[in-house]
Amino acid sequence: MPLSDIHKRKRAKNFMILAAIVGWIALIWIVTMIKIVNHA
Amino acid sequence: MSDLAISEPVEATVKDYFTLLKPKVMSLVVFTGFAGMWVAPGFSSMHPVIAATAILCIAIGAGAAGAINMWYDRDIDAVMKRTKNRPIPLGRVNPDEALSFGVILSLFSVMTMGVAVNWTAAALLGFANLFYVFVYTMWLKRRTPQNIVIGGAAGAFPPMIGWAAVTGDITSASIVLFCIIFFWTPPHFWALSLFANEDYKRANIPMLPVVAGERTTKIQMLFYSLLLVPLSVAPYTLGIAGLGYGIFAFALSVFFLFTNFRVLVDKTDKSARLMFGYSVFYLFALFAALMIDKV
Repeated sequence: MPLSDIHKRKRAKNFMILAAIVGWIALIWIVTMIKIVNHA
Repeated sequence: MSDLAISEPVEATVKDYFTLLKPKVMSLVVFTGFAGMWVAPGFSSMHPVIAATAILCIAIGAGAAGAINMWYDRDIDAVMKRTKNRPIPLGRVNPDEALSFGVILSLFSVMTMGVAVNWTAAALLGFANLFYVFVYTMWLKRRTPQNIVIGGAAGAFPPMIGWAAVTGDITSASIVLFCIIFFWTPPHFWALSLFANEDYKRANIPMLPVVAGERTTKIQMLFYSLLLVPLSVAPYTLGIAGLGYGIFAFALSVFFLFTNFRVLVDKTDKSARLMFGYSVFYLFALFAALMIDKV
């Protein structure tokens, strides 16, 4: 897909949203592991 | 595509989005929420990652409510000196983006609290957010001088949420922590509105000094300050905190009452400014004392 101006201008924000989603998945995974270990 | 680019007046920065979260309010919310966790039984055995997640959710939840508040109040924010430099009135953040930002973060914080911590804390966080947005911002703020009395409940929830994050329940102890902030809010905000009421008048917000006059406001403030004396000592009488806390809380509250008396007799707004400053210190010191007592 060709990169338009809006892609370039919103790059930082989009990367932040991506990082937030990845961070959230990591957090839920870590907490799930903690809960499994604590209840084992 | 090009239309969309043209319709965006100024490019928003990450800082603008951070400002939408009302970082100053968020810091007080995080502090009181953390205090609620700290004094709750079982905090020491709580896993640090789960404790940190709970604080993160409280912070993001509070920030999300702030962003939705800024979206709804963008018209009055633009005419008030105190708020005219917020990202939406400045045209830096599109109102629709601010709303979606707030709604997404609110859902994110409540769901994460539920999945990672527990659903009692998540339900309280969700309720506090809905209360702040629908009851305070949309319903009461522009309609009644009792706006901050009832709406203040939203700001009183954090220690209760923090407590519930640790214990998973609501007890008389966490209700007392709620009540301390609930009854502290009216004298705190009315002290502010006594010396900043020009802004509220301009925005047509029916704050008590604007509607009922300064004398009535000062007398009503006194009732709340009086109630704070037994309430602040209640953690000691209920056995949540020790005698040291009880004496300290009593002294702090009596001085709070004294600052209120000075406001009552002072014809200038100097005492109101002092009282407002002291009220912030008072709440911080009270919760800090509760935490130190628990060490």
